[in-house]
Amino acid sequence: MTQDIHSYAIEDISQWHPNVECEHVISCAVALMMEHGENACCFTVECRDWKNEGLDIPDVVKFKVIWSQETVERVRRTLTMFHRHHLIEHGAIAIACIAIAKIFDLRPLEVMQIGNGADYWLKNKQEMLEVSGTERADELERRHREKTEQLLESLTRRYGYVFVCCFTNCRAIFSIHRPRGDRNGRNKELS
Amino acid sequence: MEETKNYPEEAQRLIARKSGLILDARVLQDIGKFDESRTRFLKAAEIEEQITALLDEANEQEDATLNLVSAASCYKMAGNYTKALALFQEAMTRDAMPKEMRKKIEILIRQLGTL
Repeated sequence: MTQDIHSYAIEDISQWHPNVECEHVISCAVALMMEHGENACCFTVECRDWKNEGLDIPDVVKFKVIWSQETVERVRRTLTMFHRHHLIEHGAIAIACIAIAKIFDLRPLEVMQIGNGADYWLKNKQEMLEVSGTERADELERRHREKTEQLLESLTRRYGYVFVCCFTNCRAIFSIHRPRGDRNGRNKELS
Repeated sequence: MEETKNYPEEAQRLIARKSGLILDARVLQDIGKFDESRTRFLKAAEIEEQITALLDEANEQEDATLNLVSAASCYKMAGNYTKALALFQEAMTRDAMPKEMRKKIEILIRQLGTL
């Protein structure tokens, strides 16, 4: 069965997540995606463990990210300021923003500053999200394991998600997790 | 999966606004635009305090406490250590402080105490 590949304009993130202005993370993602195409890049997302939760999500979702010439010009003006690892770290957030709005509908997204790091919450703090990016395809699985471990350490009574993406081969993993020890998909504290 | 919790409309609007500010502030910090980054963190901190008050009113104390911790962290990133310390300490006095967060805050308070 062939799957329709939807195109999403990255500049529309602020419409899908109203009032979340994130011009800079968009620039980071576009800077990396421009290495694959002038104005479009196709991502393949492996949706891991969703079916185990009884959710009707395909194992693999593909989508195309497109961007405007105006964004390209902004990226060209600012590109030299960025270290590559910053582009990857922040760019991953932009791709996650598309996935959580257009594929999984886990909105609203909330970003918190906790100490020196950022925490990402979904559905008004009902669920947590860990995000990470890499440019090494062979590192994607390891990064996913690390972020999953990190998520499970703080996941006490809510579901959580891990989104990791690789900008070299434009692949991502988006997995769903329950708290440790919760075999019924719902912790006792929630019932 | 959980249903989306209902927040007051104003809190929802402010959450979106400060989320964007924090995302931008973090990027600006990484590219060395420290003044612009601090300005955004400061604005985000003020908004986080407003969200805390709105969620307290809505009887969402645990969530409000998380926003208070984020407010303190944003003040820290903005360079206002006195305000950051005061808010971390206030957060620690709250019964609704999630257990997993308490240890993190203790460390942050110790760090601020040595600055």
